[in-house]
Amino acid sequence: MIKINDLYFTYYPESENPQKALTAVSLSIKEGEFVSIIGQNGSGKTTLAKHLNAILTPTKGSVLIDGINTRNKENLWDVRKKVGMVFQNPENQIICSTVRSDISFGPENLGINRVEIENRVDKSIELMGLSKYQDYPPHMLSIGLKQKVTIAGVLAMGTKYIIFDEPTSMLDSLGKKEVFEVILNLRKKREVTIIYITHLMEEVLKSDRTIVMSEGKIVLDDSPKKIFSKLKILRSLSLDVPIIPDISSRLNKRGISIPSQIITTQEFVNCLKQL
Amino acid sequence: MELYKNTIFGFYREGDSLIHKIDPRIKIILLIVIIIFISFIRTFSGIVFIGLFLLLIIKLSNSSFFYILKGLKPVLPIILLILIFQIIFYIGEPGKILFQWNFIKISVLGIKVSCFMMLKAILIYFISSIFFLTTEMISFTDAMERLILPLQKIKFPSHEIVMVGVIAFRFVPTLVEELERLMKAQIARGADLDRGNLIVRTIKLSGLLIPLFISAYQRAEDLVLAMESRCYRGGEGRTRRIAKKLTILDFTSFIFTVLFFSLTFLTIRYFRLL
Amino acid sequence: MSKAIIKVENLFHSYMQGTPFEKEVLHGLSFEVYHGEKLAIVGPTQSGKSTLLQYFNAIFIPKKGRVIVDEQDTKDSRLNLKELRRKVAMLFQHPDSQLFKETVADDIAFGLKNMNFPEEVIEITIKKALATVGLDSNEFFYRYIFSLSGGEKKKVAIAGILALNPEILILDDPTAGLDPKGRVDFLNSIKFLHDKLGLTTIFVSSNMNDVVELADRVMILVDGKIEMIDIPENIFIKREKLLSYGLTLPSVVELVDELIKSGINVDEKIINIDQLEESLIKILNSS
Repeated sequence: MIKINDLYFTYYPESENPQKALTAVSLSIKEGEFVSIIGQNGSGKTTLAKHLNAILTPTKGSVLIDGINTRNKENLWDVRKKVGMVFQNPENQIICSTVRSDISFGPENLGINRVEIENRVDKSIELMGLSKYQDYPPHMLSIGLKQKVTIAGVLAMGTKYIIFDEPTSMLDSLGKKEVFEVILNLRKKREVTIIYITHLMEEVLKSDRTIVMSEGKIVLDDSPKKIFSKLKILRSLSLDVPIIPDISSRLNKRGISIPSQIITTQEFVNCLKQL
Repeated sequence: MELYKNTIFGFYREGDSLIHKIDPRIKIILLIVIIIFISFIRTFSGIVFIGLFLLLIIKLSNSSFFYILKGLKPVLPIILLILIFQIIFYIGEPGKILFQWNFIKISVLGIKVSCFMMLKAILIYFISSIFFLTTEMISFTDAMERLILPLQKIKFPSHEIVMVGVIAFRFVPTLVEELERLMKAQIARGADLDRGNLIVRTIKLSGLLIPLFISAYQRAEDLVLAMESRCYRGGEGRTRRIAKKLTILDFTSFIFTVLFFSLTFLTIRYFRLL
Repeated sequence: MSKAIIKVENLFHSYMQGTPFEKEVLHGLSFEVYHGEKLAIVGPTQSGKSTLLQYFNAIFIPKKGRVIVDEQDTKDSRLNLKELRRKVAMLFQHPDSQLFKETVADDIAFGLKNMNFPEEVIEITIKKALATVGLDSNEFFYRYIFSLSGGEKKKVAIAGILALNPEILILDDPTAGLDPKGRVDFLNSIKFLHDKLGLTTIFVSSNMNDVVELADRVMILVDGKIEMIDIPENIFIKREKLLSYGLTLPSVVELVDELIKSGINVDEKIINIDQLEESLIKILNSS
């Protein structure tokens, strides 16, 4: 379980213009959950994510990963063993010169024995569908496949929690689909807890729980269904609205009443048929 | 204007020739041995011997002599320039002088020695080209790592050095791509990077260095975060790779080459050709 | 609308010509871009989109085939390349690779100086360009590039090319990596520029929703060949073909398909949400 208590964070606290990035954030994430985080650029999503694997530590408040406080320097590697992170640009995350050696990089750092590493790497490669590419140099792969390599690299470390920081935002549309599909597969197995930052509402719809951030604060924390019924708040925060709530609200304006909790196509179709 | 797509680093060419199959560690050692040998040659007959050997290797590696030769084209002006300077400013036993003007002397010996140096440089170019044509960059860095890792025992920071090399090789294509983008963006806004003489072009290109450095630093920052997130904390406590076993081919090629060179050396010595 | 401003005739492109690695990536393309239109070029990765774009402003000169921009053959040795590149402005995907100078003003001036604009008009031209993209020149003129947000950098990059007073705008996947607000802002400013300045706009996009929102015509480029070039309605009706090329469909089109499958008979030619709204209203009112 991840527990965040009254977290405040300020960039450059000693300088002339300190920048408050997080204000009074409290949150707990259970094992096996798939939590999505949305919000405009600069709303504090990435700053929050960087607290979860101790890249940043709180200015005030605390972050506990399975009871381990991220503030203590000696806990650093224990925290990172538990919490893996996939960043936006795969190009800047791949370290080694073949797919297979890059996926082995994390577990090698943990000092796990060779046989176990090879097993884990095989499993991750299989899970991400990279078998065909394992001896390729990364620059020969499409950007979508590169992102799968970085995910496989985190998986091979055996982390319990994985934070994804807009992993699909730099990919082409097909890459977006394929990478999100492998993440959904991970979710099905429920072996890892997924914390997923995104701008894409169709991805948010697949999560268990959605956190909306604005100006360093948590504005909403609820199921995606509930969140998307609050179109006014989403629009006021300049966030995208998924297509079904969007068309529903348009129809509402034209005098056709469709309840605001309708989110999926199936619900929408049923509702239309009843009219 | 297509740097990235028109250059292949190391110029590796896929294939399954005998030379491709030799273990890269052995190939590195042999490459060093051959280069050392070439630098010891002092006669034209020695050059001919090595030349014949190289032709054999080219044949065995399924590459084309003319293709490798073509690779020399871009540096040809520089080679010729060096050759001319060497001939003009040759210091040593003057021997028979063909032409003299002020301090410039052109002697037969000068021409001979300079041409000889040139031929040796070309031989070294050829053997290294064959090496990179038949060895993937990846197996090359990997082999380097294995070769220098034992030095760790004498407190030589071999892991860190290899890591720097690995990352450098990994990012060469990325940065070349970046440079190409920057150049195109400047040309698109009217910069004449593709015009003017060598000096003018060099000055213009230097304007690309600052944005390229900024981009490289941003990438480096990201990379550090990614490495730390994956628990990297230096070489200590890391699991090492298991080395691949050497095959009979590796041993025979090693022994063959060393034998060939020793015999050549002895024969030439015996007939006082070297 | 029917006058062609760019004509491409039988254009081929290969990498590493004259080496054993030679690979042909464009296989004899022929098409025209009409004056004042917005043409989208869409294709899977490695289809040759970005390569094709670079022929329009003569970064590439055809070795085989011809490219004629505003009645000038780019192969013609008498051609004034600078003038051509002023006319055909190009916006790259990452603003970072397009901004080279320290401050906003210096960066916009970079192009102006290269194009030999007289010293006395440079400042006023910069201010005008900033105003066109909606940036306050009092606030932004002396700002450092590194202090800008992603969206602002993109706008400065556009201002940098607009200052040169172009006639054709080339955009390479312009909305990739922007957040929803940034994307909407950007699409609006491109529409505004097109309507106000009448710029012919050619853009590559990997986001089909952008294509639906912007394009008058769409070219589908697969493996260096033009598979289709037509108005969006006629392109997106060929769903199976698009999917077989490894492309995706606009979200409205996906929804239309699902609605039809569930027995709600909306028109299958619908591509945007306004059309869907009208169609649903019609169906509901008639039942």
